Amino acid sequence: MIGGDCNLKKIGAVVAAIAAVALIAFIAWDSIFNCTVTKDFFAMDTVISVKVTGGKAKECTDEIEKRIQELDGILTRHKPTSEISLINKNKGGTLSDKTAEYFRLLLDVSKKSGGAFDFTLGAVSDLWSFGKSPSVPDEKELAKALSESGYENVSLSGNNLTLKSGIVDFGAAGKGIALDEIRTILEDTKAKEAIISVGGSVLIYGKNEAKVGIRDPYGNAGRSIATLNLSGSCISTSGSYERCFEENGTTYHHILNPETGFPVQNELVSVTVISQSGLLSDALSTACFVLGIEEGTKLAEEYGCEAVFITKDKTVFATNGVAAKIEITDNTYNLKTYEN
Amino acid sequence: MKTKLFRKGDIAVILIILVVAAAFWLYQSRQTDKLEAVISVDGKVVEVIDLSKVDGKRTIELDTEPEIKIAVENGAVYFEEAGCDDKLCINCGKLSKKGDTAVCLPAKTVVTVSGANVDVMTY
Amino acid sequence: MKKSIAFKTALGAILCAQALALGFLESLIPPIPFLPPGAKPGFSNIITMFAAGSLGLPQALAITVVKGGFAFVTRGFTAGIMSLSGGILSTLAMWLLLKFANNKLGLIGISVICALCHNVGQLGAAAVITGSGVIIYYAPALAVFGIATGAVTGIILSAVMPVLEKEKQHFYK
Repeated sequence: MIGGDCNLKKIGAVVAAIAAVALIAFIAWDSIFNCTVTKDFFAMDTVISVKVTGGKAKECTDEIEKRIQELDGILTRHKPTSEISLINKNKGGTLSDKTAEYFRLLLDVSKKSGGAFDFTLGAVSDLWSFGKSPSVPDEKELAKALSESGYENVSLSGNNLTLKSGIVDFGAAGKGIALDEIRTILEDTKAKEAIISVGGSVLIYGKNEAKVGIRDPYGNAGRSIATLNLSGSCISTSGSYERCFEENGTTYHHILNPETGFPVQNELVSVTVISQSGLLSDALSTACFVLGIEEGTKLAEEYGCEAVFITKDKTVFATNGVAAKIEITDNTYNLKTYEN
Repeated sequence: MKTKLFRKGDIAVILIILVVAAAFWLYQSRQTDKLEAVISVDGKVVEVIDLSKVDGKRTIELDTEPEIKIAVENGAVYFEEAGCDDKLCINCGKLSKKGDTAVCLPAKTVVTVSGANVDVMTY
Repeated sequence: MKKSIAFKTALGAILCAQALALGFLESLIPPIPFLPPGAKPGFSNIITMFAAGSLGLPQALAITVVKGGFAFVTRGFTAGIMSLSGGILSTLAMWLLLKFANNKLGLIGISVICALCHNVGQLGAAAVITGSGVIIYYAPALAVFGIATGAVTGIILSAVMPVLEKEKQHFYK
């Protein structure tokens, strides 16, 4: 049935069709295999996973790793020569522009939260030694460390910082700061999409929405109880399940109440904060945990951020702006929208 | 109807379909994470089970119409019993690879094996 | 020759019966491994294809609807919806292709596309019924299966076409 009317035109059409198919295949192949780069590495006492699509994805991930290691060298208290360690040692000093900006923002959060967020509790958390061999500290020692702490002891004018007493610790904001640093790299390398996790603090970069799972506070770390569909945001969570330990039948976790020096005791098990800024999402998640649902919601609102609170009785409170983007995936949890 | 059995255009049609199907398949098979059985009824996820974390056998009975019993065993999930007539869902057999899917249309139930069904976790 | 309403109705009824018979024969085929259960070769497409080409779109759609109604009565609501959505989509595609792409594509190419449209319609209906998009995972396997069955349908069609045309002639006398 294949007749003799095959002429050059038809052969040409077939060749063109095959070429078009080959081109489509190549583009599909390229977009599937070449453009997305993923990388996991350890820094800042945590695991960092990076997934970048588009732009110079390979250079971008390498640059991110380099920058995070540098940032770790500035913010860590483990190294005596880091910028933060020098500030603590010299009771202040002249800061780099960036570090000064971090301090300004964190001081602002401390003030607006009425001291619920405090980045000068280094001495207090050292007494608990979370992450190493945690134990309930001696009462007198704790009281002394607590009396020396307090963000009021920090004053900043221009890039000059003075620290009257207390030990500066960026533990509650370092991951968020890392996300902000990473975002500038993504912008510089013209990445299209990226999903970054710095120890559970997440940056969703680009136009596409990603599904962000909120960890089950009572279950395996990989299990989520709700998902948030978000684009172009930073998401941080503070939970009482992290770095906790048991002593004499009581469970202690790492989120300390700056007033008492003891782990926060309220209705909450975790708080997730969504913000444009990584630093704010990280710092506010801790502040909101300390403040509780009502005060926490007000604070988040003041910063134009959204928050998701999970309580001990498995109720999920979402602020109005995020209520439409959250989906509960574990039906033992109930969603309630928080009315302001 | 003066349509011929075969023309050169047919080759192009078949090639395009094959290429698209292959690209789609490659895209699916590349996404390998931990395996989770996601059970959804009427579009709502009712259960997510990490297949690697089930020792022995676990069964889930769904209160659907008709009733359905789903089992998880040896890293696989499958329809064990179904009250429907055609038993197509049971004939799907054991699902253990990402993308494996069994559907019971009368009960509006879908069982699918997926990697973590989120892009990233916050904790 | 004038195609009377009686002629069209009678021939349509015969074609319907043939489509149903083929559909029944097909249901006797056991589930094929590695394929989604419910995947069928779709031999009754032979009839709808002929109808679309030879009688026109309304007749072809009528046969599709009867087929869907038969599935609805004998195999239930979901089967009926699946049959209808797949059937209507593939019949429309068939009619369009026979009308506009007749000199670019052969019977094989057309029936492959129709088989694919049939699958797309069924997957779409299944996605709506289950409210879940995950069954799209079936798509690649169905596409390859569609190529095979579409090709077979096309070959069979070219073989039985003379017979069907002859059948048609009876109604002109």
